[in-house]
Amino acid sequence: MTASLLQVSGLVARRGSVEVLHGIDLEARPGEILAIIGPNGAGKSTLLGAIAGVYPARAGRITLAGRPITGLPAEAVVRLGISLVPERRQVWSGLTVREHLLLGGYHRYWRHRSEVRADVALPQGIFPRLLDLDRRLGGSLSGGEQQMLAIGRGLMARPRILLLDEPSLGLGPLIVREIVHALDRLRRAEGLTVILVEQNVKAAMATADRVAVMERGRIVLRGTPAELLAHPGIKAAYLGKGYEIAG
Amino acid sequence: MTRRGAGLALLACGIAGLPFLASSAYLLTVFNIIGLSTIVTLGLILLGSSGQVSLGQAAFYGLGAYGSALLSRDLGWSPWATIAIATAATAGVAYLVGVPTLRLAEHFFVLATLGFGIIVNVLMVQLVDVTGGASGLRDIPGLRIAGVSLAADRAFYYLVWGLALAALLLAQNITSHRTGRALRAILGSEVGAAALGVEVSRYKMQVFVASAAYAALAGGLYAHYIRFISPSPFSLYASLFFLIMAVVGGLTNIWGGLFGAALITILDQVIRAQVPRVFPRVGGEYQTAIYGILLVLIMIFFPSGIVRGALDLGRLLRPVGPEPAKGGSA
Repeated sequence: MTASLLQVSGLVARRGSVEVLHGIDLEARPGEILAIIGPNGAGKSTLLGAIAGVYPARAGRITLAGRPITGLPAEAVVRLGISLVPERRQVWSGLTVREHLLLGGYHRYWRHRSEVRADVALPQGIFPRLLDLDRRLGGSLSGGEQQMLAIGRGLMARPRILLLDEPSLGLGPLIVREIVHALDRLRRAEGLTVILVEQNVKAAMATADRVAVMERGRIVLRGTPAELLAHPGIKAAYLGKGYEIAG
Repeated sequence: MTRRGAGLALLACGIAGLPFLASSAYLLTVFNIIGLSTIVTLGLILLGSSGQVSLGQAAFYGLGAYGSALLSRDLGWSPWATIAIATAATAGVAYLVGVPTLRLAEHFFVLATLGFGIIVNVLMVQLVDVTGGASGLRDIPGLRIAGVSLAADRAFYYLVWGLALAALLLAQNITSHRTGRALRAILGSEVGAAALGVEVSRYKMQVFVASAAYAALAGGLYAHYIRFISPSPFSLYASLFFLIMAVVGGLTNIWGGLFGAALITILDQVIRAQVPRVFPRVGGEYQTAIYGILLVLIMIFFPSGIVRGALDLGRLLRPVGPEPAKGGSA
């Protein structure tokens, strides 16, 4: 097994005055899709935010390829190769699709302007719809288009790890499938590592190499989708009784 | 881009020609006050483009005015140098104010600037030995170029409007391209912007310091134009006045700054002149009431400013043609 790319140990984080993460241990390996599932309020989004540097870690340690990144501000973490596609997409209504993509390459734009402009072709290749929407304002896009834009914007940072917070939220199954396929292609073509937080457990199980289950700020269970499906509690709590992995 | 350049050239021609059409000393003074207010308002709009609002702008305006007046009058330095020094020093003050206050959530930041404005104004009144107290500072040297005085309204007009146009160009440059995208991202969501690698606190500080420098530059020009300063034009009321100009123009719209400053200054003159004729017995407080009502009406009907509101209205009234929607131009 390859060495881990991201290593989180004993991570404690708060949002406001409430401690949300009570000591998380997690690792992500190069090129894998790791799904984090669990009920509302389990701390999944906080975990992604804490890895990305949006929420400060109160205790614990995060390393990226052996390099400690605990306590770095979000803008520094992006530079090192971790890109967060936040909850509810955070698409700006007054910026055009192209402006969003250029902003995604923000930290490289200063020195490598033409390179970033050329890079816009990468998300456009993955989601051709973004090319048609190039000059449209973010606020005029549908939910699925906004999600494609948010992922495309995240990719513009050329990350090693993409953190995706509930990409399927509010989207129809066809678009979810398109996004899942895109992630799979990226992982194969670019060796991208994806950490995916999902409420849509079926989509997560179908995509992920490994799954971690979070409850009340702790990881309570981890394994491959097949292992988790064999676990009686998980199947009953998240998938319903008749669920089979391929169906 | 070229349309923007053409608009700017047209504006510059209009500004250059205006004194030939309206040459009374009164009108030139009004235009000069509009020019000074435009510079302050542009600073507020720069600040607004990162989602922040300041109620302390008159204090920065006053620091520029008092700083430059004192240095030139008491030390005999050239007013050009003292305006530059006072502007730089005020930018430094803004940095020091910004270090603790920019961390605050936005409504607390507004209150912090309000408090700062009140403190500065109280110091202007109370430090009688330095500032002359409520009776102010007299005999401030005027501006001269190669021995020629710029004290005349028309000469000052070209100076202040030249600087206002330069300030507008600079503000426009700051709010386009990479920095502009970053500022608009911060305006939309600070967390989202940070997650993309935008240095949120650095940008917020930069526009705050720039807005203070804009105000201080205008304040220095004001001191050497009027050649007498007292605390009252730098009070909380003046800060509110500048903020209304920025809001009327549209808090993130550079061109709106020019428009808001002109509209509110002219409105102010009209109110001063006409209301006593209509209501001979009312006192000065009615002005405050009128601005209050104006602000509320604008917030209700034109939340993104009069300019943007008028453009939207025009778009609604225009007959719909087969032309495809141009989403990117909005």
